[in-house]
Amino acid sequence: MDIQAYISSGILELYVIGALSSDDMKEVEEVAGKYPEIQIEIYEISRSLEQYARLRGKELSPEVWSGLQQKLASQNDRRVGGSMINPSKSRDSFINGLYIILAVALSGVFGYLLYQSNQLKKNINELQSRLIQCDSLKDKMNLELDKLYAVSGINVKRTVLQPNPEYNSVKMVMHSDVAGEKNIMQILQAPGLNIGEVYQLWYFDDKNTPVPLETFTGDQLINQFSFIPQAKVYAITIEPEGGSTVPTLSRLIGTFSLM
Amino acid sequence: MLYDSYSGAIFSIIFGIIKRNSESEELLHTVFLKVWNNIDSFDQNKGTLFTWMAQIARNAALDLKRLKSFENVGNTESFTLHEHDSYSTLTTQDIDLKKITDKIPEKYKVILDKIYLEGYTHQELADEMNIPLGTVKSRLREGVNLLRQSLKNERHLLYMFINF
Repeated sequence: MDIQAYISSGILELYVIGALSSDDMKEVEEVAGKYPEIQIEIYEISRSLEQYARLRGKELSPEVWSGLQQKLASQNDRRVGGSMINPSKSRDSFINGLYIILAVALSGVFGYLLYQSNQLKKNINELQSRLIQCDSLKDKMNLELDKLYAVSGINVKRTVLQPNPEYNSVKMVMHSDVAGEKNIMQILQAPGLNIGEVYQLWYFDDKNTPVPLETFTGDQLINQFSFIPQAKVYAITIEPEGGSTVPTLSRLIGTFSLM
Repeated sequence: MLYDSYSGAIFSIIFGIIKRNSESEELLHTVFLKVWNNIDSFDQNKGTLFTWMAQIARNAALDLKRLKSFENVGNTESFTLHEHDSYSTLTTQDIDLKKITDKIPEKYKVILDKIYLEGYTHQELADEMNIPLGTVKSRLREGVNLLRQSLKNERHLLYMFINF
């Protein structure tokens, strides 16, 4: 191949300008690949025309550059939103995604711990409430136990109620612990009460005058009352709620005679 | 920076074909976006980066020109290209390019301008100038040679000046 003739044909200038057909362009590229002289010639022509274009170039206003920057930014935004992904933004998105997942996971853990904490608080409150109930029940049971000890002691005097004829089915027992100064009354069978009525215990002093003691409703089978050392006789009546200062004799259930 | 180095020259090619400032600036954006999006397809064995960019710019401008039929409408904006006096590379910064082109006779320079900067085909130019197609080709070739020769001489003078 006559390289000089090929160079002088002017085809390389047309190649550099881009004025050749695609077939001719391919042909020049193939020839340039084989012959370094032609490749150098193409480079020289390119450099010359580049400088010529630069000579004829103009200083562009800054607005042209800022406009291009805006379009680039817009293009990058579209790429991130679409199928084309900018690697750095993709990495940022990946990291942001990790942060979001981490935040969601932490929120979940925090929520779970908060739930567990609330459940524990609820359980603790319930346990405390039950503990109070247990304490109360324990106190009550201790009291009942004391009463049982009182009624089962060997030094306890047991006195059965002597009912009035109207209340002959009533069965009550008075357990008097003189040493322990306790009076425990065991109710086995009691007459019914109307609304607003209570039972009231009395004792008779030296002059046989009835003295009012506690009132009770009969809900409990064992009831502890005041111990009166000098009392020899106790009586039970039905009185209005709150008790009376003078017994209603018509409602006298019966008496305990300790003598 | 790619834009700083080439925007003025690429714009001159686009404007030479489109002849409208606003459209040329718009197309300059399009060209640079194309360049950035397709930079992987640039093959330095086939020419310089500028040549590749210039071909993209020329093709885009000619496509737009055909699309909008700007040619010969006679309503071009009052805008003229100004010669550049601040170039970033060594050769263009230190060499008086104006002096170089002044050394090229007008009959070659007009061929270079019309074909390289205004997108004329050889046939179009031959028709417009009423000269044979072969003459257009030979003048283009000669114009490029004169340009190269002038550049070589200027580089040589610059080299001598630097080493003086």
